[in-house]
Amino acid sequence: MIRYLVIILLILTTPVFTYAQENAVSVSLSNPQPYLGELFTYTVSFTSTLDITNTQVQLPPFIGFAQQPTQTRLSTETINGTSYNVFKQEITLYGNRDGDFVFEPAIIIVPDTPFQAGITVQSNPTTITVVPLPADKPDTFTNAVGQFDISVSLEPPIIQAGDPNLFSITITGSGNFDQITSPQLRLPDTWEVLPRPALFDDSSQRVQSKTFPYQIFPDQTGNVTIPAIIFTFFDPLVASYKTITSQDIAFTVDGEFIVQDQGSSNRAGTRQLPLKPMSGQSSTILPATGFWILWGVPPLVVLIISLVQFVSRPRQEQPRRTRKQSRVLQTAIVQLTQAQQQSPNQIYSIVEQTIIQYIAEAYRQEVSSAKQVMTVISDLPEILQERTYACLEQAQSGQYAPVTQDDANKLLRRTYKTLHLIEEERS
Amino acid sequence: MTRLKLVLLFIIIGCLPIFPVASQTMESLDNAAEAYNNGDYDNAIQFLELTVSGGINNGDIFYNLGNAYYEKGDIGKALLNYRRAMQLIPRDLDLNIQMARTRSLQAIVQTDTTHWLIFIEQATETIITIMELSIITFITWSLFWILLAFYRLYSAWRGALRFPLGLMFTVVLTLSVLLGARLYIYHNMPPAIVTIDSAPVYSGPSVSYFRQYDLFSGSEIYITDEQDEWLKFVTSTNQQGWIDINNITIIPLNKTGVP
Repeated sequence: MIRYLVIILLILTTPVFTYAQENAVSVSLSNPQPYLGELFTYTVSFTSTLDITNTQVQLPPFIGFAQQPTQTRLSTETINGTSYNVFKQEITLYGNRDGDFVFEPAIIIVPDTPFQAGITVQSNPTTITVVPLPADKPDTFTNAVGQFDISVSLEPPIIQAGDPNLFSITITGSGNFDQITSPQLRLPDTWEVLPRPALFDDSSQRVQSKTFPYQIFPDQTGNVTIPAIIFTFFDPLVASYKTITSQDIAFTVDGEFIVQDQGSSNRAGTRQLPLKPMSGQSSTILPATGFWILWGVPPLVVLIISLVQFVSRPRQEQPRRTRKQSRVLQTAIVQLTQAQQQSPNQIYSIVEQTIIQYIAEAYRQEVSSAKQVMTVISDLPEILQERTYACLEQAQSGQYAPVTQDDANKLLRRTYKTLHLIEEERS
Repeated sequence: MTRLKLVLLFIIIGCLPIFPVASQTMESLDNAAEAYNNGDYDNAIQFLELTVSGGINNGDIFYNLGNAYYEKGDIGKALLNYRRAMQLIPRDLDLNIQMARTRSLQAIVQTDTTHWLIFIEQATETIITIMELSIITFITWSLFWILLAFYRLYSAWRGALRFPLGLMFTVVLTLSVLLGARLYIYHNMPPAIVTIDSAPVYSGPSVSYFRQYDLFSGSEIYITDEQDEWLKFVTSTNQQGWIDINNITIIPLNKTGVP
């Protein structure tokens, strides 16, 4: 008895030891009071004894914050002798607006697998205060918050008059690159300057860069200098604005500008574009409404054709089905119906006679044997000839063999159908 | 039968673009050409804009208007009118060269287009107009149904018709996707051009939101949403933001060509 109790106790406690799980989810912020535009990290950690390879995370929407690519890590940690799987997701954020915000809980979902039951756990909500930037913003501040450096480049160093060259300002460092706009260029007003889209390089996790290229068309020749670029950013580490400057860049413009009188272009040193002859004839970009209605015509025509085909098909087939039976067939059917009252052997005999008689009358020929029948019906399809021959052969052999009523009825039905088919084929 | 013929005639007439050329229009165009050749681009633009606003939709006129803006140094409006011309004369060599030149000045990077609808639009806009695409798709659509009718009517031809029918179905499907994408873009994501030197882009529909970055004159965007005076847009590289409606011009797709 005691042995049984011990076994029952062991059975009851075993699942507890096997499936006991400890799951903990936590959220942390690298800086709960970041400045506006300052990068900070939102980290979700999930520790579990479960297999968390396919863990899904539902992050809060981060309204009012800009989000950068996330990093996910899976690792294993041993705590108090127990091995835990650890899932960590880090999201780099920065505030778009200042004020107090609450991040909704992050939800962790471990899906069901054949080996373990899934779970859903969630963290606590997180509060964060985005601090506004100090009000004394210098004019040269272009939204940059973080730590940065500046460099400039010019290609090519020697150009011909009228040609452009490419001047690039590159900001490197760590911060809110998405929000940084180009520093101010200090160039003569008479120069043509065409800004090109900024190029962002985030291939390195630690140091990123943003390049602001400009195509510039100087309107003077000789040695020309582009003054240093002034760049101001807010450094949250020291909580103040910092201003840095690039070096001056010199280049040479060779040759002379082409001076044009009438018809000259506003673009320095370039030829006027020729005009195309204009007819004043107008055309449409989109087809008129009537055109779209035409699209319905082809399927409609096919639909009508299909309907006509569908309706006309039964009309053609109906006469065949309802066609009156010939007198010869009617006689044969009467004979076969009356034969049902006879003994099985007699039925076989009547069947043979009925087929021969039907063929003789239908074809208006002298027919007295199965062989003659086959000669007469040689115009029928082969399959029908075979069917008729089978009926005749069975009828002949059954007259002297021990057969049942059931066999005889089957032969009657088969003969009945065969005669109908012959009639249909002949008609 | 006569009534059917009349209905068909009306439908065909409805599809035909018939616009008489007024002498006033020709005079305006002559004046524009003269002003342009004299280097008076402001006047040339004025005459051409007057013609366009009068309902004339002509690829050559849009091209010339683009040239006038280009010569004046207004890259944004030049590109806007080249894009308008592209809707009508997409295979014109001069237009394609001039568009590429204008885009290279702005370096509007077209290579890394990630939005599939915009990709289709950009891949086909220099090859075929929406009108041409509509007509070709309609012809293949009709052929498909004719083949289908033969397939149903003549059972003996079914074996021979199976392949052409499948082929025609694939062609119709492909053309329909292209046409659908072009029409969807122009009706639901109309393209627009930034026409001021520098337009700030915000994270929401007002200046109280964070200023994310600037778009420069000639930047090509696609409008996806509207709120008061603000438009939400997406670029070919899936960059999004909100921009003031006064800083851009939407490339129109109406009969008159007036924005």
